[in-house]
Amino acid sequence: MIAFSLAKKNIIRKQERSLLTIIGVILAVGSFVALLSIAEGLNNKLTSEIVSRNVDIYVTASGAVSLPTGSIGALGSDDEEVEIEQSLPKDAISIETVKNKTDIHKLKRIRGNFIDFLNPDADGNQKVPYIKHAIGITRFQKKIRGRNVVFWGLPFGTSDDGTPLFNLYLQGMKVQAGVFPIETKQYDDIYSCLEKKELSSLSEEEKVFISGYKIAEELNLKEVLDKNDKIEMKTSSSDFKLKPEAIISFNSGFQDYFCYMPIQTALAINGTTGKVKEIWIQVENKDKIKETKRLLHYYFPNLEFKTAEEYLGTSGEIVKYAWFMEFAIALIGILIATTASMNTMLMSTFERIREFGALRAIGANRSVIASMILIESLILSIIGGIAGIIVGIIGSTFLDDAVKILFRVSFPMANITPTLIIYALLLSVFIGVVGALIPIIIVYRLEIIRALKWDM
Amino acid sequence: MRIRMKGIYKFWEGEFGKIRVLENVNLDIADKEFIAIMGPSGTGKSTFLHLLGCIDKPNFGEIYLDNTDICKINEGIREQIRLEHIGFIFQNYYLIPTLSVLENVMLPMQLANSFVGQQEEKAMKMLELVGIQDKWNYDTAKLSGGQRQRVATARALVNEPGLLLADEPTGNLDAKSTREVMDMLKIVNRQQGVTTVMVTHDSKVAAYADRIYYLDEGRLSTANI
Repeated sequence: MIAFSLAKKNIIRKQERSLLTIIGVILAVGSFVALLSIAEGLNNKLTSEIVSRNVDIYVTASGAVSLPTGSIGALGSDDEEVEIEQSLPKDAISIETVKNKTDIHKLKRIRGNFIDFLNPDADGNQKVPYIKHAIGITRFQKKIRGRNVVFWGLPFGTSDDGTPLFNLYLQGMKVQAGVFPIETKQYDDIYSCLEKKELSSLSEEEKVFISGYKIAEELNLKEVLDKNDKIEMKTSSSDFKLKPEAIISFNSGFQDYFCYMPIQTALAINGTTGKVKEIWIQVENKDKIKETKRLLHYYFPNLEFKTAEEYLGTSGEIVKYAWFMEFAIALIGILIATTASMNTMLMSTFERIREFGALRAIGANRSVIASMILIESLILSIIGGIAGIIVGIIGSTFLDDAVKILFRVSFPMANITPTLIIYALLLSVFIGVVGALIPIIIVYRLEIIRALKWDM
Repeated sequence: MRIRMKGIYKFWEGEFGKIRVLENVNLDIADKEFIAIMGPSGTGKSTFLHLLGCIDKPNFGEIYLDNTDICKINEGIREQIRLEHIGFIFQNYYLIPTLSVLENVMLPMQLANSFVGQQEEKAMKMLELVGIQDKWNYDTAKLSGGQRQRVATARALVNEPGLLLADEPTGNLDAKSTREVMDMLKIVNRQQGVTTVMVTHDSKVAAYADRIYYLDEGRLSTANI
């Protein structure tokens, strides 16, 4: 109690110096909060993006590192593609129908082909029996009206029960304008959409796309849609035009910046027929996800299989990387603040060595004086920490604007979470403790006589 | 408090070897006695006081405060003795500048957690004893040297110590303040019954003591001034 009282009074006595220390801590904690709010925001957006998908297992090429949202602006990278056998069996059958033993004879074993997992063993049993549905996904980036747009290629058809695949996998997407183009064709397996197609052989029904809200706004697609018009895309074919069929409702996420088109169109545009970025699998029984993954891995050791949870983990790693990058920048501020705090406490200690000597002479033990220094340092750093959090919250809005320009997104990326606030408070406590460390060591080692005779 | 010093030797490690500060010092001070130690600068007067005040240890010898040999106890107990049984008055007062007059006097009680609930009352009584009660809420920086020494005396006495150690208590004071402070110390010694050991180089100040000792080149002798 006496240590607290003495510490508090010394802070008030040395107002200018206390204020400078507080400013140092404000800058450190503020930059920490502002910078890491972006990483937190990225994590939040990626998580909600992945959670909104109805995917149980993701299949990618082995070693492919893919940002779960694909590339957007400067984010993401060109990930490797999953090679799919191009010469598909014409009578390839659906995963559903494989359960019908009478159809098993239709399956053909194609070595190295992903469809291999459907092949029955010698007894006629399906190797991976729990798969409900699977679709191939691809992504690419093209310029439309001078703006780089990320397109997702995915089946626009229906599953065998008539459910539009779009709705089956990307749940929660609602149309704001136009209608979802639903092909009558059933995509019973991932191959039926991968047949080799030239750009020129695409039908008009296939040269369509759905746009995210923000992209539609930027490219003025509503007007094109209302006029039933088309929009030009630069491809190998000079007059390739796409028709916007629908605009998705605003959802304040990455989806606002994506466009979606039939996968066969996407593959034809990119000349990558037979190659997809990812395969999304739904498993019939959620309890069987791990077993399904294990079986898939057993039969296809060269491919990578991730449950939705693990996929989130991949995004978590990317976020962690972003977190560390931003923390490294914030670290400069933290080091400056810690040094400033340490310097203040050192100056304050050296100025009061005689006072400490007198206190010790009248019976104060070392821990009272050490507590006094620690409390003083903590008061300054916690005040600075709280103010720094407020400054960081304000700063994050400015940083958000910078991110919007840099990554060409307009939704708020910065996300101040309770965890971040707790980290920021812990950081301010850390600065306070480290700042007091050397002065405390000095005081602990100091002899009373030397302290009483101390000359600055 | 009765004090006995037996065969005290104290050396400092100097640049050119050991420097002898105190040599075979033997002294017996009776309870409630007021003694003065005189001597020129650098003869070990302050060291003598520091040994008695448990803030330094001799190289050889024994020092008894009542029946406790303070050379053989650990730092924790020495701290306790300093806090509860010894009062210090310094030439430079060493008041805590962030605390008011009253708070400075209350400080030893707060450190000892003693007189809880009546600390203010007790501190005011001490200020009254040293004649500075009207300035209880003053900033110590606004007091004169004599007034500061009174506050320091009140602080030294507030835990009701058995021994009061005064290191050149009038060293920074003018003649008038010196008289006032010494009169006060004499009164305190008489009224409170506190054994008082004072170090000074001023013979007029030393004259307030019951007995005067002279310290020269580390040796203690009775003085005939």
